[in-house]
Amino acid sequence: MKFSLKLVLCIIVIMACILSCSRFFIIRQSFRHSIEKSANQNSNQNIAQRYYIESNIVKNIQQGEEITNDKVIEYIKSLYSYIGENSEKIALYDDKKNIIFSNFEKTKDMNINLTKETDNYYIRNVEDKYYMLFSSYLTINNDVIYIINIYDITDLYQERDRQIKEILIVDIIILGIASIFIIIFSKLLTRHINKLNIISKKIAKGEFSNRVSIKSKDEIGELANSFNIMSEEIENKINSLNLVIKQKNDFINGFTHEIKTPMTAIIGYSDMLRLRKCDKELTKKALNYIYNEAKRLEKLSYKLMDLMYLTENNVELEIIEIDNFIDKISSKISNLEDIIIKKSLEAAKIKGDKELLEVVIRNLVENARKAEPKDKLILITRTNHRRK
Amino acid sequence: MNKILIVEDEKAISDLIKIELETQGYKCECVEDGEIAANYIEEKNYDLILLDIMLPKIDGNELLEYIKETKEIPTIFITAKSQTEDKIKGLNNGADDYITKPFEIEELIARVQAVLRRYNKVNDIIKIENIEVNIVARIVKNQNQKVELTPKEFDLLVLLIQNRGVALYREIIFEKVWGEEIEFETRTLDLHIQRLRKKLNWKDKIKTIYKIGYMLDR
Repeated sequence: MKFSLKLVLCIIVIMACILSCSRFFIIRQSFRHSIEKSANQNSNQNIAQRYYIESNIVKNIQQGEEITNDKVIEYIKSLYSYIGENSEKIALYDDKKNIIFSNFEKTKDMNINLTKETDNYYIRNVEDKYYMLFSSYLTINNDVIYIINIYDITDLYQERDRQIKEILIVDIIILGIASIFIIIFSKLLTRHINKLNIISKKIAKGEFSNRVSIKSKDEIGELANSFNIMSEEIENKINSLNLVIKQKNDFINGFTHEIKTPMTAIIGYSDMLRLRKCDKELTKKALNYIYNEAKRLEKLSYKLMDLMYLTENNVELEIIEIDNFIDKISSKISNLEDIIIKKSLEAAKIKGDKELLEVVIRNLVENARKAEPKDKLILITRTNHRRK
Repeated sequence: MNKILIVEDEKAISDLIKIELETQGYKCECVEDGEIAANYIEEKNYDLILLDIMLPKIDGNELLEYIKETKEIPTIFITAKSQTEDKIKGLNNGADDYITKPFEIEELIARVQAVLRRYNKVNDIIKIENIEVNIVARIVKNQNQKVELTPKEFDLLVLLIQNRGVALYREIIFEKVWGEEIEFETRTLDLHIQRLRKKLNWKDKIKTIYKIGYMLDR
């Protein structure tokens, strides 16, 4: 999945969560508020009606009339003929939960809660409609009559549902617009990353001279900068490696050229000698060529070894006690019968490489031996050459 | 008799080539630098030039251009560089063939013969008394009658012809004809020599040299 897509999805999901949570909270609060408001209103009406009935009853008692349930029903009927039956419903119950009177036929389907606490209300749902119920009571001739006022509050619920629907549409539009902006934004953000990616692929293919041109001061700008430094470094390394390889190849080419000529001669002359019965003159000539060319090869191999030694081991100078050192070497070579090595050395320390120094001294002694001194004596001495 | 100019600054190599080619019956002259070579080419006529690339004074490639501009002499260049681009450069400059050091003499001789053959400067057919040998077609005739030889018998015959008049050691004859990998068997060699003598009617021509091997008499 692409980074920009991830970014878009992530932000959209978070936005949707936050939006729906806040909407839910707001709608719940406003719904609760409107229920509370209508309850206040209805409770006042409920109290007013009870008061009206009570005052009528009191009036009847004062006139010496007997109060019966039928009388109460009569009052209510007269009251409702005055208010109008459509807007409000009422029901009367005795304390055995029997309906004495109701102008609303769905009353019997409701689970009526008879209580003497007058301030409480409760909500019942019958056939997709919501009703708010208030109850109060009267005591007549020791009988308790419950007065239940029923108010239709379905429109409050409808209002809430309508709000939810509207908000849903608005939110979807908001999220849609937001995602367009986020897509544009994420493309802008990942543009640099894509650039880096393209350049890295080119470098991976071997086009080391590529550089990224991103001028921004954020982390990506920094990354681009370090990327450029890295590719610079790689390019330099590769170039120097290539140079080393080229130098090596040049060296090998030169060296094989040096080797091939004597080899051709050696192979050619020796092959001639072993195939044919040659006369003395030709044999001597061929053998001389073979000897000389082989000597040439020998010299070359020495040179090569010296060269390898010097290039592979960087010469590290160490402090050598020259008198002890020469003692050791001369004891190694003193078994040569035709010479006598004599030393006159004072103790001294020099800086040098032990192996190379040994080669030098051995060569010197060897050359001296070749000179065939008459007294067979080779003298090794040391003198100081102080810098002035 | 073909005349060959050897341009090579290493005396060991030019001497070797000269000795070997003269054994084959060519007439050779050696020069050591490009300048003298140019003079020789101008003054004399050669059938073939063997040219080293690394030369003092005038470089082999320049000399090659000069040869191709003036005289159209077939040229084989000798180089120690085995890199393809050097070979291509030489061939593009008009060289007829190249040979890289180190080379074996047999290879050099074969290339020399091939180039000369291409220029029709050499007869493919070698005649020795009653026998005609076509080295390219690998056919041997005795008084116009075809003689059937096995491949090894033919190779052996060619080796003897190329070294006519020189005594050859039997181990090396075997090695050159049968290859280095196979162990020397004197009976195989002796048998092939006997069969050659019989087929070509060369009983006295191919001589057995005591303690050495065989020789084709001149």
